[in-house]
Amino acid sequence: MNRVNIQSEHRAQAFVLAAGVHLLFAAVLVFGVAWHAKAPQSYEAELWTDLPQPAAAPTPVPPPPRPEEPIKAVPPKPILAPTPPKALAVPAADIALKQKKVRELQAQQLNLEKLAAQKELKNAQALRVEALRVQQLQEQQAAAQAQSVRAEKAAAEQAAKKSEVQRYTNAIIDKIKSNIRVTDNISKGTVVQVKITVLPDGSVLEPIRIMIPSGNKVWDEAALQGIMRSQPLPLPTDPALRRDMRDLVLLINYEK
Amino acid sequence: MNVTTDITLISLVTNASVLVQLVLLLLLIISLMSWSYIFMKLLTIRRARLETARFEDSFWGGADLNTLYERSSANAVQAGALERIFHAGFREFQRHLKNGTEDVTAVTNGVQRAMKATYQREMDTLEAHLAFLATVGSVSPYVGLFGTVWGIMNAFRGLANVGQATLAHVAPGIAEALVATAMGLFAAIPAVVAYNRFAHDIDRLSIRFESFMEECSNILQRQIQPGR
Repeated sequence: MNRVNIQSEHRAQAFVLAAGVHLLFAAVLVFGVAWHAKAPQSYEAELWTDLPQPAAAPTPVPPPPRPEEPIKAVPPKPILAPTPPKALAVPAADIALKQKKVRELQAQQLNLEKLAAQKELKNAQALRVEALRVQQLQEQQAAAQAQSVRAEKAAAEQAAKKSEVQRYTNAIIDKIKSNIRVTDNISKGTVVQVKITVLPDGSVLEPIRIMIPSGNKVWDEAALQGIMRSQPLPLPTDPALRRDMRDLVLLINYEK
Repeated sequence: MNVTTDITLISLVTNASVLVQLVLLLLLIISLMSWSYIFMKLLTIRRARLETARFEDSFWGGADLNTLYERSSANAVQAGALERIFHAGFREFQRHLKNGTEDVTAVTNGVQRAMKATYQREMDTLEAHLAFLATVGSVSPYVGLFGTVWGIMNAFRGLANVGQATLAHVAPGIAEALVATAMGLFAAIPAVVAYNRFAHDIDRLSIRFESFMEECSNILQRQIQPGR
């Protein structure tokens, strides 16, 4: 029957078309839809109007600057000593000879004078260089002194900062402890040491690392939950201090 | 803070449980079949419509019935449904004439029966596989749903072993499971739309065939009467 022919004629065509539709749909699904394959990378930028001074203490005293090379005055080339007048071989007229001798003497004296002047000049230069060196030494000493003073000051600041950091760390630990909920019985000395990274907005970067587990899994877990629940953590308003509190090692102990 | 789970379509399918994968495979096959039937029906029905229109044109265009009959028997392969109906009716009519049947009612009844038989065969061909589309449309969402329910059951069972349950523990399992529902809907929606459209198209064609049959038997009946 011919109608069978018609149908089978369409069959191959239809199957190809159907496969095409599915391939198209699959392509749209795979390439057209953003499947959240990667977690969005988050960046944070802080805009500070007053940049905190970098901590001064740790910078070591810079090595004393090398004394400036003394200005090397190019030593004037010693003028060649005048060659001794040649003995005249032929005795000439007396006057002429005398005159010549006088002239030669004068020339010698002149040369001597010139030499002396040069020597004097050299001496003066040496003196100046010496003075310069002394001055530099003094300056260095002064700088070193100033630096040591600064270092002392920085150390004091550091100490102050440290106590401040300690204060805030204690506040953080208090907050975390208030947020820990445990139902199990936990022995009194249980303490867990965790390391957290605090973002400037007071949130804690996951994952939190347990440095030294307490040995009690329930307490460890409860402490982590407590940290997550205490976000945002109390932080100082001073950006410099806050930066110092980026990485914190906390000891969380059970007390009750 | 950000739960980083890699969710891609391929990983969703490959990580699913065996039963969900089977359901997905079944749905894929069903979808492929239903789409190929959709295209097949589309082409067949369009062709039937064109052929019907062409034959109606030549029939009502005043062509001689004998030449039409000759033509339809000459190229039987290319003839459309309506042409075949006419062919069956006219052949019956000629047989009656050859036998010298006098009874007009008997001739008309015979012609109508012959045309009716061909008409029914044609309708059967046109309607073939429509039931499959209807079944796909109504059942494949349930098949998909079954896969989803199974997947979610697994996801929650896994959750029971975790002390501190978060959404991240169940999310991949549920996403996996929901792929089955999506697949079921993908198979069902085109099938339903196509079924409705094809049923409507075939209804219209059958009305055209039926009215043609009535009119054709009238014309044949009139051909007998003047000859007496």
